[in-house]
Amino acid sequence: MKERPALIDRALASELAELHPASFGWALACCGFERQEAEDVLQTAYVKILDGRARFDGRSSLKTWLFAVVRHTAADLRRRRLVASLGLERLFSSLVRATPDEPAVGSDERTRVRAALGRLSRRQREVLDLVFYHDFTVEEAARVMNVSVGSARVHYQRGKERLLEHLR
Amino acid sequence: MSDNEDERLRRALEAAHRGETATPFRALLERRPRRRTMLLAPLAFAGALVAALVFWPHAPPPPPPPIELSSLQLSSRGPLDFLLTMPDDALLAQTPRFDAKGDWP
Repeated sequence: MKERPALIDRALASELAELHPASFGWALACCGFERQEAEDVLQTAYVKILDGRARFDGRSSLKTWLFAVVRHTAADLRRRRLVASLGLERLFSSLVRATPDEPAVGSDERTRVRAALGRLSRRQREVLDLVFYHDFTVEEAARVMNVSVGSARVHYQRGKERLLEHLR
Repeated sequence: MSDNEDERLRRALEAAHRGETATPFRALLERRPRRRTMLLAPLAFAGALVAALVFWPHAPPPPPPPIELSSLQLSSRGPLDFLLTMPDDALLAQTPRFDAKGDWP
């Protein structure tokens, strides 16, 4: 780990702590609302940031950058899991996971919306969550998702249409 | 798309996130990562398996039983050997015999 001034770490940590509830919601959305997975992703993202492996360059708001780091970390974890597992990881986790991540019982509306979201593409889900839940503009969402604004608009438009269709 | 539909989507997304409580920031930073070890376990298992297969002490194959020279019998059969066999081989292999009248039996 690189040595960094404690003051910077404290200031950064306090900003991260302030954004934490929103980041947690975003991490959940990135992980299909799997709580344990979201915690892993968020923890890894925070450690990356506090270690200085991910640096804020000031080209966007801290929240936009943080959300991009979280999204990237989630994608990275998914990829590594896919490569590493070859089915074994699922076996291991099913052996270890004694209790479900979240109580299975939820509000009907929540279950229904989550199921409908689950039928969208990942990018559609992401852009809708960023715009409608986290109040990002489509341009900011594009930055978080690391896609062009045009591409984000397409995902946004199609995502909206499909989600409304599934919620009908 | 109308503002009504946007509002409906906003409410839907809020419903999807309803009831979620974030793990406290400090607790999250200090918690022991669960999945990282879970990811390493299969890798370690696969690595150990490969290492075991590569470095497993292979016993040398048993030596073949000694061959008795007397038991060797060589024979060959060429594809054109049939050209060497002549028709009526049996007749030609012996001296013809005639009866007292000089006829062919």
